[in-house]
Amino acid sequence: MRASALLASAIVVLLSGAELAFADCQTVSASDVAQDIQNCPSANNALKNNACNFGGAAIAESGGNSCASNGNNFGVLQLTRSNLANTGYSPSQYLNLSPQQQVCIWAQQVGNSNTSGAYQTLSNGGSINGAPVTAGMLAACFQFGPLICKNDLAFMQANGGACPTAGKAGVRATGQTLSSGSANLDGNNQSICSWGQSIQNKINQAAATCSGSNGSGTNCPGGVSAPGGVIPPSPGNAPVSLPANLA
Amino acid sequence: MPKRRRLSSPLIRALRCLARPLASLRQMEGRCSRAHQLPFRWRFAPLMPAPAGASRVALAKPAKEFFVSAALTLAMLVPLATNAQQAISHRLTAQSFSLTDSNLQARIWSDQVPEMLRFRKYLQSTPGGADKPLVGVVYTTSFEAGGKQIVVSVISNNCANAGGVPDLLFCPARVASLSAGKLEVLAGIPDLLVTVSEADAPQSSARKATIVTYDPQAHQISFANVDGSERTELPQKVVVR
Repeated sequence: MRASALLASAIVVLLSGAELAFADCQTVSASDVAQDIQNCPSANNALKNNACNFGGAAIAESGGNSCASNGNNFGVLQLTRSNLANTGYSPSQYLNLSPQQQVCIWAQQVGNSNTSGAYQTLSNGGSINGAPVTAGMLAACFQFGPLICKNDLAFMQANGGACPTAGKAGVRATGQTLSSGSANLDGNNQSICSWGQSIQNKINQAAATCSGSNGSGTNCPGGVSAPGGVIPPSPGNAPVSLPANLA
Repeated sequence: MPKRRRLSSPLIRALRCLARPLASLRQMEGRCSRAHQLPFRWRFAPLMPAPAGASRVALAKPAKEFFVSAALTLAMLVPLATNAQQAISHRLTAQSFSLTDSNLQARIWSDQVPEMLRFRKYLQSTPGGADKPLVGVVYTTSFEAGGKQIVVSVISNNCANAGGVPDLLFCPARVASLSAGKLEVLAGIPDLLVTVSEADAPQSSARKATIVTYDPQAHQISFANVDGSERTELPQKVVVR
């Protein structure tokens, strides 16, 4: 009886760990992620021009751990399970890829779509009704996707630059609110302002590694001395290689 | 002597009735009058309301026999016609397709195939990626409409995030018609909220799925996402004529 219980426990442990079996976890810096974005053939200009900001976002999302996962998001840039399903990699396979490979898959899967719409509006405007557009806000916009970003942007324009919150006009993302187009907070009740601030803090912390020696391709907003500030309008942010959509 | 079992479907009863020769209309009267009590009665009620105890009313005149025949004919044809016009719903099914030959999905997404192929080849070039097939993934279903095949295809490429809500993404979708080998893309939706799943894993048993409905009367395709017992209609509609 005892032996069978032990065997059952062992099987449970093996099964539960099978999906996320880690072999080669790596911890990378914001600068490393920025460089990986620059090196990636599938990353578009919008990503490359904000590579360091996404490096900061990676630290906010995963701590830079290539094996980071909450069961639904995976890797240094927390690619969603939904997007991962399209790549042919299982979660454990993906987590065992190098950070460079993870970043390239992330860029290919979500780079074009999430840099469309409101992302472009944000990246080309220094402020929204008085509220500065930060690199962290832009990264949060990217991670949430065009719908929530667009709704947050509209809310800010109508409410003196303030974002919705769970207690004030916030609509959490669910199947219904996404379908109706009303969602303005992500599944964790974060707006581009609140989550943007979290990312911004990480970008600021990562400033030293981002602005230093490697130089090539990292792009800390505000220059070397003041990374993570307001994003100036940049032609490089505007043109995004979007897929051809039919009329 | 064993009693012969009779099939009791309303349609079969109606067919039996109509199969009788006209000469035996009188005989038929008693049996067919029972059809008034069948569920289909309401369909011809406007033509001939069936009074209570109709089966006991003798039909003495040919006119009455004619009306009985007409009513039975309608009872048989109306349901068939109604069924033909009923909306049909299918779940989207995840399906991988080759990026290196000219299959239906590759033709529908021909403008995106080169980029997807480049990326797949890149994956193959990375350590551990050599066995990755050169395939794309779509969520797809199809309907027959007027001799054409209507194909709904949602591609897992350039999908946008949906606020981190599990299993949902905004993906490009296309509706195409296929007739005699000729493919025509009828409409495109740049950002359809779709339930995603593993490639080649049918959603038939899944709690979550995207449902596509074709309404032949309105010639319209509509979409909904289901999550358990919760169903959410999507605003996008596509007219296919």
